[in-house]
Formats: sequence, structure tokens, C-alpha cells
Amino acid sequence: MRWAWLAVGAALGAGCGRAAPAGPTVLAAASLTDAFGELEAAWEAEHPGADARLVLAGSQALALQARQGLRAEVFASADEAHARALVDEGLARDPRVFATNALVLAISPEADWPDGADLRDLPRLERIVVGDDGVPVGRYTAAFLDAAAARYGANWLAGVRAHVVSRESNVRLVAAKVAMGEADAAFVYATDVAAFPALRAVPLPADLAPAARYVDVSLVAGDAALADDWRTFLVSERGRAILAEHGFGAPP
Amino acid sequence: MSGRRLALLAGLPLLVVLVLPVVGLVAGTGPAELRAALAAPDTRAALGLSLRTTALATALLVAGGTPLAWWLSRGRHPRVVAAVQLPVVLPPAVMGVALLETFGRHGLLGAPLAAAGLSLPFSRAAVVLAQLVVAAPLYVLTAQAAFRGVSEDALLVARTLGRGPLGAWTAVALPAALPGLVGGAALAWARALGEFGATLLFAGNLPGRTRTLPLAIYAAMERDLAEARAVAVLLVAVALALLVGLRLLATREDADG
Repeated sequence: MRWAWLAVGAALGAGCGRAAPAGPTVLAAASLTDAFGELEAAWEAEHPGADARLVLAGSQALALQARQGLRAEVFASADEAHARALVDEGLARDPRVFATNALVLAISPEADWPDGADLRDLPRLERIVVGDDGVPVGRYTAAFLDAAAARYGANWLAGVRAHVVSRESNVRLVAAKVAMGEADAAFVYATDVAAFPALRAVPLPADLAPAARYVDVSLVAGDAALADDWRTFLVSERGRAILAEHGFGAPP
Repeated sequence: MSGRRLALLAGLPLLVVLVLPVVGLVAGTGPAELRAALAAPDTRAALGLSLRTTALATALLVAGGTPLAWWLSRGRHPRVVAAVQLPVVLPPAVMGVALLETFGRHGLLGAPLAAAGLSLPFSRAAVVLAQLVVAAPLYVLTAQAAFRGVSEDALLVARTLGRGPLGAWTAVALPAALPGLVGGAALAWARALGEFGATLLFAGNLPGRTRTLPLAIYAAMERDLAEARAVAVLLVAVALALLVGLRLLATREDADG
């Protein structure tokens, strides 16, 4: 029996008493999934033996986890509000806009959307999915719809709202619904359309849809040197190239 | 030390781990927050929707699950039992994708359903179906165990007294298994109330239409943690009332019979 207890002890020890990690833990918004996956690999290639870890979820869930003591070096939020809230609470420092993303209308391949159709035709589609008001993509969408109502009319807005069948809790859930063809159209980021090649993207007028700003912060509880290392890499030539490949814009 | 006390002592750490998080949840929520959550139209809509859909899901489950459990209890059907158990093992989100792949526009049954003018995803029917599927094992397996205690001899006696097969079953098997059936239904109902992952994917998340209490908690978590906690306390209260209330009913009937 003794060997069994030794094995249990070894397993527990491996889980708990690990030496300080040789790489940063990065909390990243769901819309950063693909780009940060590649950035993680690129960072590790430049730091042999080191291991960077990604925690991907909605910005609000990540902010909550950081508040509750999840130890990490960097938090990359899809909006300024969640990152600034952590700074205001004294849990994070040095907020910085590191990328932008455009809100677009994604159309499912099966949807009845002839070439040349434009935003005015949106209420003709049967099922539209948006982000919930609590998540960044939902807030950008709500702001866009309000601004667009002034141009296309209150009837247009009512028509769009009547066809909203779901308000999802993160942008990947929104994109998945339209990529699976269960929804006809959805408001997502340009980068989400890049991740699902079957989707068609209808750009939104720039004056109605301001770009989403991605803000990262260093978490006070984490290792400062590792945080700086990751954040410097993020805006290096290599980091910028990877972000651009995935559809992100450069900071203003 | 008596055996019983020793058992309690050994089981106490588990009990504490089970109960403490609920205490933590409730302790962080004052009556004012609870009242505010109850007064919010979104919460009331979610509560009403949850109660209606889970009541329907449980009724459907009892209607279909009781005969299935009876049949399972009368023989050995390991493969069918495994199929019934599957939703316990599958992550609910996977179950949501599976439901979409079956009943969605491009699912197995998508074309015939569309031809019949039916569209399940993003509908209340989808909410009920998701709850039904994840809660089913809890009822069917509990009912099967309850039916196992019914002897063939007792059924035979009722038959010789002139009852038909269904008459003998209602006179003998049903009363004997009733406490188990009610307990299983309560457990299934409570599980349906807490259903989240399958609903999120299959039924979507629209306030007033498919946003049940667990989805409302998830949505509130993104805005305001205190509000999310208050709605969660509400969910715990409703689930506990169901579990305790139906169990009391079952034991009373047991005592009467």
C-alpha cells in the first residue's frame, strides 16, 4: 500500500508545490482565441523551455476570476471598461490599447442574402443573433443599432429587433450560431468572420460603428517581469504581424 | 463510539463541502438584494419561464419515463440502461450541440421538421427538450430502482383476483413504488431547473422567451455580481422547496399506505 500513497503524494505535490512558472499566464477575451493561440506558440518559440498559458473566456468572466484570486500576469480585455475597472480597484496597472477590431454583420452561407443587398435588407432575415448587453460585443452592437436607427428609421430598428432570437454571452457563441447556419445573421467582429471562412461579412458604415478597442493590463498579483515580457512581445513586429493576420487593426 | 456516529463523523467532511458553498452564496446576499432581484422584470420573467418549462419537462418525463423504468425493472437491459445514463456523463454543452445536430436546421431531423413547419432551436420547445434530456436519467433510474422492489408474485395475486394487466399494475406496483417515483421526479425537476449548458446552445438566450433562471444568472454575472448572486439564491430556494416539498409528500403517502 505504501507505494500507492507515495504516488498520491507525488501527484499532489506536482499539482500544488510547483516552482514559479517560467512563462506568463494570460487572461484573454474570447475574441482573441485564435490570434493569442498563435502568439503563445510564437512567444514560446522565442523562449525555449518556457511555457505560456492562455485562459480564454468572456472579458467579464476573466475580470471576475482575476478579482477572485486567479493568479495571472496579463489581462487582455475586449473593451476598456473591464480592464479599467481592475485598474481602479488597484488589481491591475498600465492599461494600453494594443489592437482594434471592427464590428461587422456576418451572414450565414445559407441565408437569403443576394449580392448587392445592404443593411437596409437586414429585417428581411428570419433569425438574427447578437451579444448580450453585458458583454462588449453586445454593447458595441447596441450602440451601432441606435446610431443606425437614426439613418434607416425606427421601423428598420423594430424590424431588426423583432428577428433577434438570442442574446449570447460571448462573441464566439454568437459566431458559432451563424456559422452552424442556425442563425441567418449576427453582429460579430471582423476577426470572427476571419475564423469562419464560410461566413460573408457586410462591413458597417464607419461613422455608425466605432472600432472595438482591446486593452491589456498587467495584473498586480502576477510576476511583473513576465508580464512586461509578454506585453512587449505583443507589440513587437512579430506580434503585430500575427494580430494583423487574424484581422485585428493597429491601435490608433 | 457507535457505528452510526462513526459513519457520520467519516461523512461529515463531505457534507461540509456540499453545504458550505451554498452558505457562502446565501451569506453574501441580504434581504434587500433579494427583494430587488425579485422585483426586476427580467428575473420574474426568467423565474416564470423556468417554472413553466420545467413543470412541462417533468410531466413529459414522468409520462414517458414511468413505463420505460417499469420495463427496465423487469429484466436485464444493460445497454438500454447505459443509453439512459449517458446524459449524466456528457457535458451539458455537448448535449446542446448534439440536440442542434439532431433538431437544428441542418440536423438529422432538420429537413422533415422544416417540412412540417416546425423549427425547434431558439424556441420554448427547445428549452423543454434540453431540460427533459438532461433530467431524464435521474427520474428513470430512480423509478427503475423503486420498481425493482415490486414482486412478480404480488402482481400475479392481483391478476388472479380478476384485475387486468394495467389494473394489477396500478393496484400493486404503482403504490409500492410511489415514494421512489415522487423522489425521482423531484430530483429530475430540480435538475431541470438548474439546466444551463444544453439550453444555452440549443435554445439560445433571449429574455422572456428562452432565458431561464440559470441563463439569467449567467447574464447578470456580466453586469453585476450581487444581482447574479441574488438570482442564484432564488434558484436555490426554489430547488430546495421542490426537493423537500415533494419528498415530504412522498413519505406522507408512504405512511398512509
